[in-house]
Amino acid sequence: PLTMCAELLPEELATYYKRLYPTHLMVQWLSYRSPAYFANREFSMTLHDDIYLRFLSYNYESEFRGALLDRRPEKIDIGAVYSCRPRDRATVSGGAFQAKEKELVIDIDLTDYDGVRLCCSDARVCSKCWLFMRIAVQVLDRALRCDFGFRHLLWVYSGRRGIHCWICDRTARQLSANARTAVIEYLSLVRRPGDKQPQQGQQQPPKCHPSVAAAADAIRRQFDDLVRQQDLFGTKDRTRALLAQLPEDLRSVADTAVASWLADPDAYPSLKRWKTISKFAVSRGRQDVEQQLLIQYAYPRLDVGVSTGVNHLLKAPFCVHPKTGRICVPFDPAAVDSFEPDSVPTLAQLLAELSSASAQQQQQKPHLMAYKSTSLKASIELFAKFVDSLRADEAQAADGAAAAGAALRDASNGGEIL
Amino acid sequence: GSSAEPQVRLQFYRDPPSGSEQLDTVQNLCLARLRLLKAVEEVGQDMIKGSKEYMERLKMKLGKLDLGASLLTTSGVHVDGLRFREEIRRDVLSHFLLRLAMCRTEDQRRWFITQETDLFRLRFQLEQNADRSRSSRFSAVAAFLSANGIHFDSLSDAERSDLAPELLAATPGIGSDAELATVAFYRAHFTEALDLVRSRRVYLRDGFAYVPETGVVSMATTRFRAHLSHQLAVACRALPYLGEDARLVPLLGAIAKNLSGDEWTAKSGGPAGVVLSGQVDQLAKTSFPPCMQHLHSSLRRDHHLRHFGRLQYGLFLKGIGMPLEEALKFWRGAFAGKVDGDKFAKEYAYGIRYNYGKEGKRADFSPYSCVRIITTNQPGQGDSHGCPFRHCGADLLAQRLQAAGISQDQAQGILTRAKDSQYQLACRDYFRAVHKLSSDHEVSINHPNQYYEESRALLLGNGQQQQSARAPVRVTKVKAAPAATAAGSQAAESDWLDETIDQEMSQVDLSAYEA
Repeated sequence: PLTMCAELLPEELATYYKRLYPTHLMVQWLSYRSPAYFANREFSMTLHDDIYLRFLSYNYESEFRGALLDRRPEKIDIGAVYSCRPRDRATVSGGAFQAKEKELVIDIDLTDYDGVRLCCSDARVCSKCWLFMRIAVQVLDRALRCDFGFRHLLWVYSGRRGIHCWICDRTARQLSANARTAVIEYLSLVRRPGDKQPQQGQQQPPKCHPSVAAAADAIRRQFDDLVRQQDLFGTKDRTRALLAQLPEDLRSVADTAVASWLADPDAYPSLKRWKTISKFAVSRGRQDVEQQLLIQYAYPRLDVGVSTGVNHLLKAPFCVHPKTGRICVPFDPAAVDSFEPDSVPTLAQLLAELSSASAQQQQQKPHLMAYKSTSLKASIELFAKFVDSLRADEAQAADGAAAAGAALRDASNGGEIL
Repeated sequence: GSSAEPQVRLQFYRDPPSGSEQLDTVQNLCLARLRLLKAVEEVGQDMIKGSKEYMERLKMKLGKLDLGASLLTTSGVHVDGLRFREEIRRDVLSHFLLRLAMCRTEDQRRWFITQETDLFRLRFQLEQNADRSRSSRFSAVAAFLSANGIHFDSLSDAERSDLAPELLAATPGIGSDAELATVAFYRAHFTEALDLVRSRRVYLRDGFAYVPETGVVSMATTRFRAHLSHQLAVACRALPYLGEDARLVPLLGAIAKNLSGDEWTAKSGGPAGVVLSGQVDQLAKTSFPPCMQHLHSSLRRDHHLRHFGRLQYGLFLKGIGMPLEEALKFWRGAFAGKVDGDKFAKEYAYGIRYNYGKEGKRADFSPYSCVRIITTNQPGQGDSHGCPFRHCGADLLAQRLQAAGISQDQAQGILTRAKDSQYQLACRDYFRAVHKLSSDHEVSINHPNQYYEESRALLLGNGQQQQSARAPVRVTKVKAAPAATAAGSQAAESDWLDETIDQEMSQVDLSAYEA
């Protein structure tokens, strides 16, 4: 029997966790080659009937797997690595139980674009508004890699209208709350509705910080499509809003152009209006104005609160979204242009694929291979590649540390006794 | 030895001082540094940190304070060896002592770190300025950094010209390639230059920040803050094992209390003498803080207040000098429309007498401080207590400000403070607005009763600030002291608030005047 998307039935979750969920990979990821690291990690689970359990922790993969099959969580959150096992926190004195490390995470939600997202609002998502997310991924992926030197980024679809990015480099995991805030504020150029205005860079135009210029470049590549799809300047109000963002000296000249647009709207579709304004600004030596407009409309809106706390909990990859039934799958940022939320497999779909897989395939080790005959295959293989590369790096780092330790020992053996 | 190079005054406070000191020296040093840090806090609230006006103002204020002048002296200024060592010692000792006093709670740690870091930044900048204008090649900053193991890689000329376009675009204050070539650049991991990264004032590549020499202060300050934060956490964990509990712990506790304005207790006969029930309406209009004004007007309007409102307002009235008999008269009169005499005597009188310590456990309850009002007993529907800047929505607050006759501009400033969660600063700005004071007028609101006293002082033409919460530690009451806290054992929370502490403190105070 198949689920309606409205409800996650425990039996279906049980099948999912037993046969499809990449438990082994998750544990490998979160261990970072250290079993103690995994044991000290906080998990939280939301069970059927909204029962919420926090400070869960597991010593081994088998315990984790057992908990998944036992509890059939509707949502799993990953928290910080603490100074001791979260489930043992009562055995240590108050100050000794502390969040020590956690991946740096970024959460982008389409509802924060409601000022500029004109095709949908609130919970609705369509193929047109997904372009904002694509742009966000391109902009942030570049900045995180090129500016900050982060290399292990796990981009995950959050199941309905947003994306998460898990930054897993060792440096990132060890960042203090203050440092995390600094990273996010560096990356924030546009405020979310209700937030404070982010800091301006103190560069006087025409100077523009290289990171901002690079972001504008990335946006520019997709902006024509965005303008067309969203009909971004198609009404009087939207056109006025665009005009209001121009500086004084440009606005007066633009006024005359706008008058002709409003007199004959059909002859001037959104894209034409945009091209006129942007070319005009650039021709006047005001590239910075054009850049600012691109950023204002399409730069990612970041939720600072999610990223700042070392102990903040965030939904784990490969959860099932309760409202849409879609799996929160990782995706390749380099291929984000071809990522379609509508094509993300749902739980119902996966279960159907499982049951129609040939009997022969079902006789092989079920939970290890079952995913290969479903639409989850590509996502899991992507995840596996990510985890492998992460572990290779950790191994290198460990070797480096071991070598340094050996060198130190040699030095102290050969040195004078003080 | 007598080397030609001056000794560096700037401190990273890495190594604790050793030796012994008189207890009263300890107390004086702590208070001197505390006063210094409070001055740092005040200037930082009034001006944009790092601006020229900020630096000038800070130099002026600190220069007037004990300890301040020596901290502001830069390394090149020559003083004789003995005085130099003495000044360094006072700097280091006062810092480490305050660390102990301020490591207990997160709020105190955060406050201490903020002010010490701001002070460090000022001193570092003064040293940089002195370096620049010095004729000899000695650089106090370079000496300080290398003495403390802080190394930032400097860029070679070739590296700098390779990155010239990016450095030019990213670094504010440099207008041309020619200018760029005259500025030294350093490369540091981005975690060393967080302030610069946060505000996007440096070029970032592959995790490294490219910092102009003017940014070195930011990097040094980041290190300073991180180091101090770590050390405070260590100190906090070590606190229970202090061997000196009996003398030092109470002193440190009293100092910490001093900071939070917690020292208000009831006095019969406040500064204006006794307050009668008939005077309250007038006093509420002119001198009550907005939280109490609201409680008063709700009381008048509804002829009633709920429990927490009665508590917050009742204790306040006690603090301004309303004796018990007047309080009973006041509340009975205020409830007169709703509650008859008998019911009042049965249901409310007991509570009022309890607040005055005449019933039950007969404790002398203190009126609530701002921090307490803001953070506990959150008001719900139909409640009038709490802090209006915290608990009212922006619209309602704007309305109240207008009703109080505050101009649009000033009201906007107050609303912004409230929106930014700076509730006590909002109240301070409110105080200034209703008393028609300039924005330089120094006052800091920590307690509703303090607001009241400052207001009375102003209105009665008495320029002196009476019993401001910023006064040095003083004995507010002396009670018969049971056995002092046992030395060497874990200091429980209650030890900090134990009345016996005041007995100890009074002895310390007196000894300073003996002989």
